[in-house]
Amino acid sequence: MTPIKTTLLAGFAVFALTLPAFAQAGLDDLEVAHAAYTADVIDIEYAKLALSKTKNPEIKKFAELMIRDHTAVNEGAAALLKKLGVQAKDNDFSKALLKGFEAKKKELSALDGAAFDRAYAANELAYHQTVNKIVGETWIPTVKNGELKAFLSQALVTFKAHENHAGHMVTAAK
Amino acid sequence: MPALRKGRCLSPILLALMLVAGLIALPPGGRLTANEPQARLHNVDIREFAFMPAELTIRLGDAIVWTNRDFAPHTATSAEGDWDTSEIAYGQSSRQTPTQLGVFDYICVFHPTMKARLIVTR
Repeated sequence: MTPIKTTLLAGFAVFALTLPAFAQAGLDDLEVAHAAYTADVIDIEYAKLALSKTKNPEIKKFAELMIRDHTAVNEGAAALLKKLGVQAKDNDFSKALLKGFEAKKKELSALDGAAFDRAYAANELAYHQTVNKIVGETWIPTVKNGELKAFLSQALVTFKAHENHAGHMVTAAK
Repeated sequence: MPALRKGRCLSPILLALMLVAGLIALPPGGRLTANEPQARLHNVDIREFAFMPAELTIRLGDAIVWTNRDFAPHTATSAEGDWDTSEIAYGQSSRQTPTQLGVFDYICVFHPTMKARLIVTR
């Protein structure tokens, strides 16, 4: 493994290990909704970065898919919040997600060509693995509102499909 | 969809008897038809990144309605590229009426691991 790849993966590993602890720190339903929305927005931003840098058609296609699917999930979230008449609540976990994103974006932005493609693919896999674990193992079992629970369960189906797709992309980008 | 035959001139008594016996039917459009199989509507749910049912056999003239139950937009697109529902958003449906006999493998063009088969018979 090259030093750059090692650094990138190690950096994300620390970030990923920190996230579940935050996620379990007693977020209420509205905070979970905010964090889920933020996680979606972040992946859309990663995809926009990929579209601005990559020339690889598969990476481009994947990035377009992330924008399409995560936008649709967030539209579902917005519709649910509107229906429930509530607003999502910002919280430390959402802030930690954004902080991690800013750091990763800086790393990815410094790369070009195949190096960028590999790093983007690896980040997409790791990001979806981490977020999916939190959604499936922490948020879905603990949220109290039944409709939010159903929403997260349905969103997780989409995110797991992305994780699977990202895994193939990592293999193809090697 | 093949055109429905026009009604024949039947006496009211014979007409009533045939209706009761199920030999003729009144379609939604109200025209009488001869005793031919009615065109049917088949539903395919798109749920959890899968087409349900994954294989569907219909008769030529039948219609299919795909309904997307996932947040992610999907399509039902012929693997050969000769027909396509275009994008179906969450909670939306798309209706198609095949005009050819055959076996048609199809996919979601956004998520090509989603595969299904449509069989159109006489």
